[in-house]
Amino acid sequence: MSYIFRTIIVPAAFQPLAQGLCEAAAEGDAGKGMFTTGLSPDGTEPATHYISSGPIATEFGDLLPLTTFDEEGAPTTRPGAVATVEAIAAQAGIDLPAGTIAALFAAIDVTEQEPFAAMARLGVQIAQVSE
Amino acid sequence: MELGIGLGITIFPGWGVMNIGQLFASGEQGAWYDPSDMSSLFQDSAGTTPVTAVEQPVGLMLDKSGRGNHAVQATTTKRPVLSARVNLLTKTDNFADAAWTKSSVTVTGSTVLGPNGVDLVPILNYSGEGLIRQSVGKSTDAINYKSSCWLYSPTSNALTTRLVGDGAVIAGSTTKITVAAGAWTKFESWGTAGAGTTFIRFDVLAPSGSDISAWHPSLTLATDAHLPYQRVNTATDYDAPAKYPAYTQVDGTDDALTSATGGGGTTGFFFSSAVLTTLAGAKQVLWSDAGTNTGYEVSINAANKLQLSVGTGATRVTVESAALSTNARYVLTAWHDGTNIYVRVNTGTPVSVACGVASAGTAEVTQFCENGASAGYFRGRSYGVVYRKDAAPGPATIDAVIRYLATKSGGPV
Repeated sequence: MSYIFRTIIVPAAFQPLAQGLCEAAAEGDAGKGMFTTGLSPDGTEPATHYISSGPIATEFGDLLPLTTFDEEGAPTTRPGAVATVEAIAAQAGIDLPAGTIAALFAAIDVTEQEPFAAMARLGVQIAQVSE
Repeated sequence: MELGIGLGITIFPGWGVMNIGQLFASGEQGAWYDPSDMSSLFQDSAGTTPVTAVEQPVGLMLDKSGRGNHAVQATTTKRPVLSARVNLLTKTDNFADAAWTKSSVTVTGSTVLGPNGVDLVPILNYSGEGLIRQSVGKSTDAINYKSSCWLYSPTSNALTTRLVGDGAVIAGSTTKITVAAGAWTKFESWGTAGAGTTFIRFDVLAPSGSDISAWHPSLTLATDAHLPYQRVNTATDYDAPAKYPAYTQVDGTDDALTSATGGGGTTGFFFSSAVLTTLAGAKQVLWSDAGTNTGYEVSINAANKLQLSVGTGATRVTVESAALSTNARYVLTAWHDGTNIYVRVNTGTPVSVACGVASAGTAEVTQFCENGASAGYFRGRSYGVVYRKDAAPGPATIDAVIRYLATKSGGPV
C-alpha cells in the first residue's frame, strides 16, 4: 500500500459523518479514530473544527478534494469524487440525504500543508483540554 | 569512541560499556525503541508491512528490550513518519531543474567541474539582475535556518545568497562575496524566519551578464547545520545513510503510539528520550501511564520545561527543568527512585523533588506523544526512547543511556 500526506480539517458539524466515512473507506482499523483533535479560534473548548493529519492510503486521498497553494499562497482546489464516496457510504450502510457528500466536501479543508500551517490559515488552533 | 550503535552498545571513555539491553537483563519491565533500526519498524499496526525507506509511516515500533512492549498506532493519520531529512530543499544536485525558479536566468547547457573534481555542474547565465530561488513551506513559528551553497563564476563577480521569509529578506541573512575568477567559494546565510511566515526561501543572486554555477545547496534548521550536505531529489528520495540521524516525525496534532503493556511502577521509574521539539507554549506529553492522580507522565510543559509528574493517589507531585528551546536537540531524562523524582536535560545537573511511593497508573497502558485522552500531542522528532518500569538505574548507567541516545540524535550532551 502506498501513502500520501494530507491535512484534513472538518467543521465540528461534519465530524461524525467524516469519522464514519473514513472508518468505512479504510482497510481494517486504519480509518478508525480520526478527527479526535478539536480546534477552535481561541484554543479553548468547545471545538469548532476537528483535524486529522498524516499519511493516508493513496487511493483514499484521491477521493478527497485537494487544495494546493502556489508560492504566493494562491489556492487551487481539485474537486473530490462525490459519486464514489456516496457509493462507499451506501455500501457501508450509511444512509445520507442527497447532496450530503457534496456539502461535506465543500466544507472540509484538505491540503498537503503542514498541520499548523493549515490551522493558521484557517484561524484555528488546537483546543486545549483544561486539566 | 562509539562502537556497535545498531546493537545499542556504546563505549565512552571513562564511562565503560553500555548495552541498552542490560537495563532489562533481569526481567525488568520497560521498552527500548530505536527508529534508526528499520528492522524494528512496520508501516501498519499489525506488523505485516515493514518500513523499507524513509518517509514511510510507522504503525508499529518493536520494543528492542525483549519485554514485548511494542508501540502501535492503528489509525493511519495518527502514525508518525520515519525520516532522516535535514536539507529542506529539493533537486539539490541540479539547479537546472524546474524546482529552482529562475528570474532572468537561463541554463546554458554547458557544465563546469564541481569542487569535488567529479561532478559536472550546470552553468547558468544571468541575463539581468536575476535570481534563482526555491521556497519551502514552514510552520508559523519563528525558526532559525542556515543555508550553504558553493558558487563559482569564471570571472570575478560579487555573488549573493540570502534567506527570504514570505517575500521579505530576513535581516542579516544576506551574504555577498566577490568570488575569485574560476574558484569555488562556499556561501553561508542564516537568520530567523519570524512568527507567522509560512514560506522560507533560498536565493542565489548574481550581476547581469554573469555566468555562475551552484553546487550542494543546503537549507536546514540551524540545529542541523553541522551535518554533512544531504542530497535531496524529492521529499521521499534523499540520501539517508547513518550520518543523518533517523527519527520519527510526530506532527503535534494527532500522532501518537501506545503500548498495551508496560507502564510505570510505583517505587521506581526511568525514562530517557532524544528529541527535538518544534512547538512552544503548549503541553507536550512524551510518555504517560497517568490517570487522575495516578501513574507517571513525562512532558514538556506549557512553560517549555521538561516535567515529570507523579500521581500519589491524592495529588500529583511534579518536578521541572529550566526552559528548553525549540528546534534544538536534547536528551530528556526523568526518573523516580522511590524517594525523589528527578528531571535532567542532557548531562546537566538533575533537578529533584521529594516523592515517595507513586500510585499505579492506567492498567499498564503506555502512551507516547499524547496523554491518552487525545490531547498533549508532541510535535517534533523522536530519535529514540528507553524506559524502565521499576527501579531506576544508578547514576553511571543513566549517564551512559543519555550518551547512547545522544549518539542517536547526533546532538550535543
